[in-house]
Amino acid sequence: MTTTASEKKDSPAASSASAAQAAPPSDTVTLTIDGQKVTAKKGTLLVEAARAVKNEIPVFCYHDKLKPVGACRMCLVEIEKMPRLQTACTTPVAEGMVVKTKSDMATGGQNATIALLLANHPLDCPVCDKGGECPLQDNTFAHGVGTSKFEEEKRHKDKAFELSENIVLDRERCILCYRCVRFHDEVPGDRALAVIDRGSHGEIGLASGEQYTSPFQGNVVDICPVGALTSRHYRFRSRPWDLKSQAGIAADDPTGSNVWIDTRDGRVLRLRPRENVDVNDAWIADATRWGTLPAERSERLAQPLVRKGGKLVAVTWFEGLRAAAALVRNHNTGVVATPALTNEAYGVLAEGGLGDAVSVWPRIAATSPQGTLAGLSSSKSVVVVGCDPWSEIPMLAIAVRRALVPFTRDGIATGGGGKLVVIAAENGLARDSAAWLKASGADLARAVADLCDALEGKGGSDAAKKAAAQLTVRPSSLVMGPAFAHEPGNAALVKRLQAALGVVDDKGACAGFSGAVDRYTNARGARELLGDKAALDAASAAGVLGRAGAGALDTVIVVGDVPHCAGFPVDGLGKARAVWLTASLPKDASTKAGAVPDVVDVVLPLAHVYEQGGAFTTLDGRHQGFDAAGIPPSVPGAGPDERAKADWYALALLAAELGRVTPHDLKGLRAVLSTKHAFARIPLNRNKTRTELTVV
Amino acid sequence: MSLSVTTRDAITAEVAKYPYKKTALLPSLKLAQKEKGWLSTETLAEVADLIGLPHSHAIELATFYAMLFTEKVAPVRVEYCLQLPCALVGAEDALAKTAKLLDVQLHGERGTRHGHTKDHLIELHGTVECYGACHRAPMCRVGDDYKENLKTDDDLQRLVADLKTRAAAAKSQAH
Repeated sequence: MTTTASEKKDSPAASSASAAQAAPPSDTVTLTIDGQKVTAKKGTLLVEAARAVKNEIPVFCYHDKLKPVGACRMCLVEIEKMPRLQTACTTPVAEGMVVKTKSDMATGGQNATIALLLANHPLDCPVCDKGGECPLQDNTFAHGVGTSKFEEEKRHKDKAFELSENIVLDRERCILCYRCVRFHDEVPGDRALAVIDRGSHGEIGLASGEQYTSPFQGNVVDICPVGALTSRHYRFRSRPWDLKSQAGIAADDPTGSNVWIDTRDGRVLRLRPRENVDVNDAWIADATRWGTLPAERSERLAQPLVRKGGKLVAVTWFEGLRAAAALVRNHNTGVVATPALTNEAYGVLAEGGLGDAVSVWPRIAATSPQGTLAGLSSSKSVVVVGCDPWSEIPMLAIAVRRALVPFTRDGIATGGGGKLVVIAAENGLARDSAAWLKASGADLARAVADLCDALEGKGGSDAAKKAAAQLTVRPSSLVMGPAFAHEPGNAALVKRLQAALGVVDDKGACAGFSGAVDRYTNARGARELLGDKAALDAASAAGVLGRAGAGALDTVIVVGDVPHCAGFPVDGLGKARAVWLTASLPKDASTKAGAVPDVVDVVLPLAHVYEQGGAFTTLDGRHQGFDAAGIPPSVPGAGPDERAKADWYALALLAAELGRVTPHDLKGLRAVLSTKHAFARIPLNRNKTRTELTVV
Repeated sequence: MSLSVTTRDAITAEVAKYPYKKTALLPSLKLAQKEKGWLSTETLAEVADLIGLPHSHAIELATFYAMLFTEKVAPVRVEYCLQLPCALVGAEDALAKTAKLLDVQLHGERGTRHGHTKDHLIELHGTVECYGACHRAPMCRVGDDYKENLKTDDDLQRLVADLKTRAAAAKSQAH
């Protein structure tokens, strides 16, 4: 048997042959693949070395982000001096190896594998969701014989078996590549799926009696190489060739997961992870995938609403802006911005002078975290205090877990080996934690002080000493829940813990990650762009809501909606009247009781995040731009001017209505903002066409 | 119903024997099955928790091996070998006669033949592979015991008497 490359450890930079060519000669081997000389880093798998020179060996079970297993036998190749065909996905390159991927023997093996996989495959492609983007179809077309000798009755199993409220499993289509099982074993580590029974009775299932509750279920749909695992939210809604895929950024994820936004006729139908090894690798959380899909365009509010005689009346944007401007002009006005707007919107608020004051609501941390998520993932000691990334920011939990357990990149295991200590009430990473000191509320500070004592060698409880003993290796990282970090009395304690862990070196540099993690999409963008002039806590006495409550403001402009939080700060407004810019209202908001609070006199409808361009800043300070993918809601028959608008555009129009000129297009706005702000100098993602997609 | 203290202790002892906890899973499941007769979802979860493994590992292993039962089986399980050496000396007949003596209706064809008594205390199976007792064929396996040389009617009468004793014992234990 061959040794698997997963046993060898390499740096993350060691990506296949192309990157390996720059490595020192002693680290590389030279081999021949189909007559072509290839130099690859030691430990590289044959399939990756071939891929680097654009020689695609067909695979099903192999995935470059999962450990190789050699389950499906699709990647059989002929290697000189080896007696039988070998699996390219488990064979590491060796000096002088001569590999033939297209010889009669190799092709025969690949043909036979396809024939065996198809023997029991139902071939129900016409009614299968995967049709058109299915590796089994593609490989059959490229490497199959086109006919079948199998005349017997096919095996019958469960069709449309509901694994969870999100995932449907078709057990007849499954080819048992174990990608889904391996994903849950290796990436989130929750081992949610199991292989039940054996041989031709084998099937994917849950450990019986258990529920499929992982927050990362959707990823198994992406990596399933056949139509066995499909999404209940997307099932039978579209064919892949009718979809237009555009690069986007997750609407709810402060770590900035990269996504493909798949639209059909301007409607956003599904989201998929877009590979970015620095951010989300190839995964996204279910909350992003299904929780941020916009409602049907026709069901959402498309026109501005103005209160006339106590009733809300739909008007044109011209009238709506005029009514909003009338409320702002000559009145004491404050702006409440949610921490989920685009940087461009914060730019308009920072520059445009829409109100006398701008505040962020809900409250966000006063200072940004130091270090990066990449630093967090390469830390050897990680402490999490007062939050549960697993349930609050799932992709952050993945970043933490990478520090603890080796993960796979280009088929090679890398990273891991760190220790995690959690001080919180909930801990989704419990099975990977070295220690979990359960504490919540006021006990958190006590538990942290206890751990500090132990780290400093000044005593501490036995549990804390045990935990501290795990935290000796550097670099180290500290992840704090905002509620713990916000507490003014904890400031000194946080400093003490940071010092005890050594998260920041003598020069003030942070090799890992340290800080409070806000749950909101663009909290960091809000802080960086509004921080100096805005109170980051709107409800404080100096904040807009504090001043409105005290009667100091006549008008409050509320911009945006808050994911993870009930909609509108109605209690804080006092006597002030409000202008509300929102994307969350249904089309019948003007008549529906309770949809629009009584204090709101003007509603301006915003486009959904995926229907507007802009940029977000991740919690570790990465600026990521995106273009509009879907088309925002509009009234039937009305022109593009009457559509719901991007947050920055609506604000810019309002500023213009007030006589404060702001550019009316994204390019112009970014040009103005780019003189002061780094994010605006980073280009928006170019829209990519389907042909540029890599299907994983 | 959780496992007895004896079984739990035995499982803990198994875990100590191996460098990897996962290795102890198979012997532990055998111990659990010995006590319970079969491996319910709860038993699987209990064993996995006891060793410190995810539940999915236990279900994967238990469903992989045919002799670990994940569905309830009768307290007395009789497995007749019908492979060639046994078949040549009349194992099929022995199974049929045993069934008749126990008033068991057999279902299925060769290879899937099985049946049980009306009180569900005794199960007959002709579904198993060779048990390696060809020199004393025909044979069947009852629990952990081999019953061999089942050639004459007397042999079968003795076998059936033993089965009934075991069934009665199981019944009284259940009460």
